[in-house]
Amino acid sequence: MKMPQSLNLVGALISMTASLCAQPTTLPSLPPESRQFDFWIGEWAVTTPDGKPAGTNRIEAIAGGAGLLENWADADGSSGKSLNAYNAAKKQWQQTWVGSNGGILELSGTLVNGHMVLTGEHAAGGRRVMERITWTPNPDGTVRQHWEQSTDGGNTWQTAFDGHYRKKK
Amino acid sequence: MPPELHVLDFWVGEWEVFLVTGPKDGDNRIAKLLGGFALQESWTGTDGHEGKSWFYFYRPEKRWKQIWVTDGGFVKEKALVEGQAEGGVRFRGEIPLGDGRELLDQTTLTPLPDGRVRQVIEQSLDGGVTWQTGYDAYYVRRVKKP
Repeated sequence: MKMPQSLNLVGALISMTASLCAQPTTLPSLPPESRQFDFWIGEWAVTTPDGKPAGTNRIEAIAGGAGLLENWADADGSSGKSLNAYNAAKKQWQQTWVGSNGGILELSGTLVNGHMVLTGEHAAGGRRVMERITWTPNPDGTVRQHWEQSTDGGNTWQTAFDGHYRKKK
Repeated sequence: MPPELHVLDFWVGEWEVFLVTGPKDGDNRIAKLLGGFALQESWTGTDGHEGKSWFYFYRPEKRWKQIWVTDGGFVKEKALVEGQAEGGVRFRGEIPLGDGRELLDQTTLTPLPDGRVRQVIEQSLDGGVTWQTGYDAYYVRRVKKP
């Protein structure tokens, strides 16, 4: 099928399921940014700042390293998953989180001075709640995940979760 | 589970995917996550390429959305377009082309009476006035061998 040139170019990018022509699919190599969150990959035991178990998390590379899949098991029995990927068109990281209670968060952001900072906002009970989650790789191989929320437009932030990740042996 | 969370139930399963022209194009597995608040698509093409996507019901916007990640590092986002004929579902998104233009990209999944699902992917460069079919395939449910 004869396609306009622009459609062919985009089609090659779009996806393998959308490969437009019978020629072999040649996908562009991953953007270097796709590697920025690799420090989070692994099997982790997660504790609160005072050392109590918060849960376990398994972060897997997916789609040839283009994305990360998070598999969270909370110590309270709840769970959640997230899909993370660098969106080159928007020049940002994006995370979609779904909790076992059906709650969904859409976050986006970038690597800032070595910290992955993803933010989002949603309405809750008629108020705007801003979310900010910061992942920091530490020199000893541990990772800190600090989740903050603001209900006053970002003037003040309260810690919602402060998890310290240590690789499982 | 509210009814709007069931709109993609017909697509859940293990599928072999064949182009309408005949050849097999890949395998796709659609699985519910976390009690059905999200679906995960795991695509493996016969060319060896992989992709993963999530479909999820986003309550703040009261609609289904999709995010798709390929091993080429390409991310696509779509949202459900309501009211398709023949019981199908359609997801549509915009892809910036980098030159100020946007490509509209839509996927329509239609369950067929014989149990197959047809997937048509179309693109438009004129805001949806005309559409070019970029992909057209049948999903055949993988039979579990005893």
